[in-house]
Order: sequence, then C-alpha cells, then structure tokens
Amino acid sequence: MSDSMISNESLMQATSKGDLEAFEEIVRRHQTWAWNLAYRFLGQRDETEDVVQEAFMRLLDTTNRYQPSASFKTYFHQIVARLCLDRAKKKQPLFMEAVPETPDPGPDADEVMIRNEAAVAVRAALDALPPNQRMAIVLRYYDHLNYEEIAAALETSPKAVERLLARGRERLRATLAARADFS
Amino acid sequence: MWSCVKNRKRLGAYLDGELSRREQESVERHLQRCDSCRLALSGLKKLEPALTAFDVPPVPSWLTARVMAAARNRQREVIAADWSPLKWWRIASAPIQAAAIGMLIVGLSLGLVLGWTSAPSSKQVTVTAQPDPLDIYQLDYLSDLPSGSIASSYMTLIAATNEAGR
Repeated sequence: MSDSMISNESLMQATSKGDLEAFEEIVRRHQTWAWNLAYRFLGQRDETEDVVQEAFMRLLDTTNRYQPSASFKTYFHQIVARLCLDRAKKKQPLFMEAVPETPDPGPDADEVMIRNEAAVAVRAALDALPPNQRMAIVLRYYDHLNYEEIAAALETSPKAVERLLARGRERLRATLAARADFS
Repeated sequence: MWSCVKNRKRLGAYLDGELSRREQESVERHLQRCDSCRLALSGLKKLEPALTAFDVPPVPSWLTARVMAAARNRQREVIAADWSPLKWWRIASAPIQAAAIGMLIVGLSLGLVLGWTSAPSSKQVTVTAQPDPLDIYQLDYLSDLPSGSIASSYMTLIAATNEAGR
C-alpha cells in the first residue's frame, strides 16, 4: 500500500503510539496549507513560523485525545486558527506602512508595481479587521471552507460565521472601495 | 417578499451557496426587481479577485526538519516524565514480570542467607594467652647482674675508676 493511501486519521493513530515517521508524514502533507493560512492571517513571517511550529507540537501533544471519527483537517484547522487568534489578541496593533518594492525596470514594471500596491492594500485591509472576522474571511476566501467547516474551526455556529463574514466583507469593501482597481 | 435590509444580510451566504433552495429563490426574485441590491452583490463579487491578489511566501525548506527535531525532544521529555515503576509493571509482558519477581526472590534470599551466616555467635569465647617468644633467652631485667658475667666485670671496673678519680 503506498503512503498516499494511508489516511490522516491512521497516521494520527500511529503517531499516538510513538511512531514519529507517521508524524513526519503528517507534517509534510499539511505544512503548506497551515503556513498559508497562518501567513494570510498574521501577515508576518516570523510570527507565522512560530505559530506553525507550535500548531504541529500541539497536534503531537494531543494525538492520544484525537478521535478518528472527526476529520483531521477540521481538527488541525481548529488548532491553527486558535493559535492565530491567540497571537492576534496578545499582539498590540502595529500600524506599518509597507512600502512596495521598486520593481526592476522592464516591460512589466508598471504591472508589478500595481500588483505590489494592491497586495499592500489588501494586507492593510485584512489587518484592520477584528481577529474573528479576519479568520472567517481567510478560511472562506483562501481555504474555501464552507460555513460548517469554518464554524468547527472557530468553535462557533454556522449562523455566527455568516454574520462574521457579512461584517468582514462590509469592512473590506469600505476599505478597498477607494482603490481605482476595485470599484 | 424580502426587503432590501433582509436581502442584503443574506447576499454573502447566497454568493457562497449556503442558502437553502427556498431562500435562494427568494433572493433571486428580489434581485430581479432591485437595482440597489444587484449593485451590492456586484460589489461583493469583486472582493474575491481583489483578495487573491496577495502572494504568500513559500514554506521555508527547514520547517519540517525543525518541527521533527522539536517532536523528538518532546517525545524524550514525555518518556522521561511519564515513567514510573507501576507504569512499567503494567506495560511489561508476563515473562518480564516473572523474571522480575524471580530476581527479587533470589536477591532477598541471598541477602537473608548472607546476613544469617555473618551474624556474631552468642557462645563465650576463652582467650588463651600465647607464650612470650623472648622467654627462651631468659632475660632478667630487674635482678643483679650475674657474677662472673662480662656485664658485672664492666660495672666493677667503672665503679673502681670512679673511686680512684675522686
């Protein structure tokens, strides 16, 4: 049986018995989306490194409590989301003007600069959202989770997720509306 | 018929495909009649392309190695902290348990035997004096020097010399 056929749940069970090779397979499979989620939420590399490493350690510590009936991805989403939210709540708001890099002169220099400026504007708009709204937006727009899955990750109800997304979207529209490439 | 206020609240869920069929149809009927809500929906649709114009740096190549190094350390700490004789006994197999009991019995028995044999005896012990090995020389330290002996003659000579010198 090839490694790709071994389910995440089976790997978790093996890890709970001390099999670190199984845990390494879990790390390889899930580090990319965990990294992307944490970075999109936090916006800083060093914080993302800390959170992702801590998320895997939490996963390792709780393997004996993990119930195979629960989806692994939902379970790990919960861990990553909770760590990101805790980090955001502890952090003092830091308003930084991220200066877009000056692109090398070339035929696409203008396009690159516009893209960089757009990225900076999106980053600022996301950072301006309250943490719960920001996490709901990130899980919806970047991880494409449905309301049930977002509710499980945030340990809330689908109705509460709908409200978080509605408020988050309204704020984002208001923040980004001034941009010519948005309206 | 849904009002604009009610409809606006459900536009996001409508866009996300999270409404029931009935609710979806209600929203669509309203949108057919309401320019303002159609504009609001159009604004929501623009969010997705705007938000995805946002690159994420790649996962660092050292991340897996660092996580696994921390995992190995954590495993060692857990094993060290979690060990106890009772826990060991519970997880040990039957042959190992039997061997441990056997070793305990042998150790206790050996200790008892050694302690028994090395205990001091309760009988009285008679101490016999050993003969002095110098007795064979018949040395007498306290009586006069034997007459005719060299020592006696020496002593007589010294005494005579002292008398003459006075």
